[in-house]
Amino acid sequence: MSINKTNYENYFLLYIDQELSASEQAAVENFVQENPEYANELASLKKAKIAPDTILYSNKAFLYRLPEMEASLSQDFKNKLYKQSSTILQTNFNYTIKAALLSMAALFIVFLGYQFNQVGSTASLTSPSSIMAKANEITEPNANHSSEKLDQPIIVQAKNEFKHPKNNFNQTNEAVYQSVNINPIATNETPVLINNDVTTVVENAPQNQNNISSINETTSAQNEIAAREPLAEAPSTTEVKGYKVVDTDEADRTIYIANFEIDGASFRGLSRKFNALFKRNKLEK
Amino acid sequence: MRDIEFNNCVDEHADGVYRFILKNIGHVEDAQDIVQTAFEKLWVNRNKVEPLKAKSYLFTVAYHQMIDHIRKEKKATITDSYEEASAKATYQKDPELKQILLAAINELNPTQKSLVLLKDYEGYSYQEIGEIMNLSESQVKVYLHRARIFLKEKLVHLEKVAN
Repeated sequence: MSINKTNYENYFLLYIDQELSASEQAAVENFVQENPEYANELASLKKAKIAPDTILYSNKAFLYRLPEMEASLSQDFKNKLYKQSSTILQTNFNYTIKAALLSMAALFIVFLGYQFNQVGSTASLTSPSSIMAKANEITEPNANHSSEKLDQPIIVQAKNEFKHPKNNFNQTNEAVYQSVNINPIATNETPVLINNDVTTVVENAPQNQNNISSINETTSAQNEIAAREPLAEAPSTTEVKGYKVVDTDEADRTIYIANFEIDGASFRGLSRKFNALFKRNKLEK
Repeated sequence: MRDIEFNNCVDEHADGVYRFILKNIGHVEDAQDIVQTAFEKLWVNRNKVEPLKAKSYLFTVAYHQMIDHIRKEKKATITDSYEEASAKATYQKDPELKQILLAAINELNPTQKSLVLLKDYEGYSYQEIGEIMNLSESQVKVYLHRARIFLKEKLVHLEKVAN
């Protein structure tokens, strides 16, 4: 299909819209060259085409600031259009969360410290029964062979005193009295062992029928009662067999909070005073 | 379409869409709203839209938003702005071609205006314009040619008056 005087306008319009192929464009240009009377027509149509970014409009075009033509969005407006598909993990916690985490960590550390303290104390101190076992190991040979241990002479002394004749009440009494007097001093140093010895004496006494009560009472420093009853021969072959559990209530009263040690007895005393104060207040009211 | 591609679309096409809409409706805030809506829709449908088709999608959405907007507003801004612009053009001794042309464009109906703007500003083919404006290729051609002839005659007329 060739360009002629009836269809030229359509070709011109397609030409300025750049909808023609290269050959068709060349055909249009040829037609205009051949028919110069249509050149103005094509020029007018070209003018009717808006070409804001070209320099067709000469230098004056740059002097006219046309906001519509040079319309561009500000970066702020573009920023509003930006999107992010996934939310980024918040790495900076606010103050309250930080404080909560820190306090939790602190509590955990205190708890750990308490736990370690518990384990350490049980490991080093061991249970009362184990202490007793150790005491048996130590005291048994001593008792049998009467070694030169600090506590042992007291027992031996007491046994020797028991061996005295029945008639010498005064002497025995004095001796027992001495032993009893010495005992408290010794008990201060090694209470566990002394207690054990005393109890063994008490337990062994029935075998020999040797005044259980007298020994008991002598240990409780009641010399007169002991003197009335005949002192039997002290058991020369007293064997230390069993031990009673040591009263360790006092030690248990110690309160451990982490690495801090609080004296339970004094604490109890304080709490009692405190309670008494409130009781008193109640009564006063 | 990923984040980067979408943001590239904003950088590359936001100005064009905005200019196209602003030229059509002549209202800055409304044009910005329409551009924003178009990009929101692109974001919502980003998994369905291929990056290469994003520009045409944006113009399509913006165009239809604009049509809705014009129907709602029923503004007479087109004729108003034409009268002001043509008045200026008439009384200027040496009227700038560009201004005359812009004034003439405002006399076109919205469809023709959009056709001219899409063709001349964005360089879309008839087919692409047809896709954006939901018209057939032949419709685009006919409407656009009518608009061209109208603009040409307007220019010729003004040139005659100026001379």
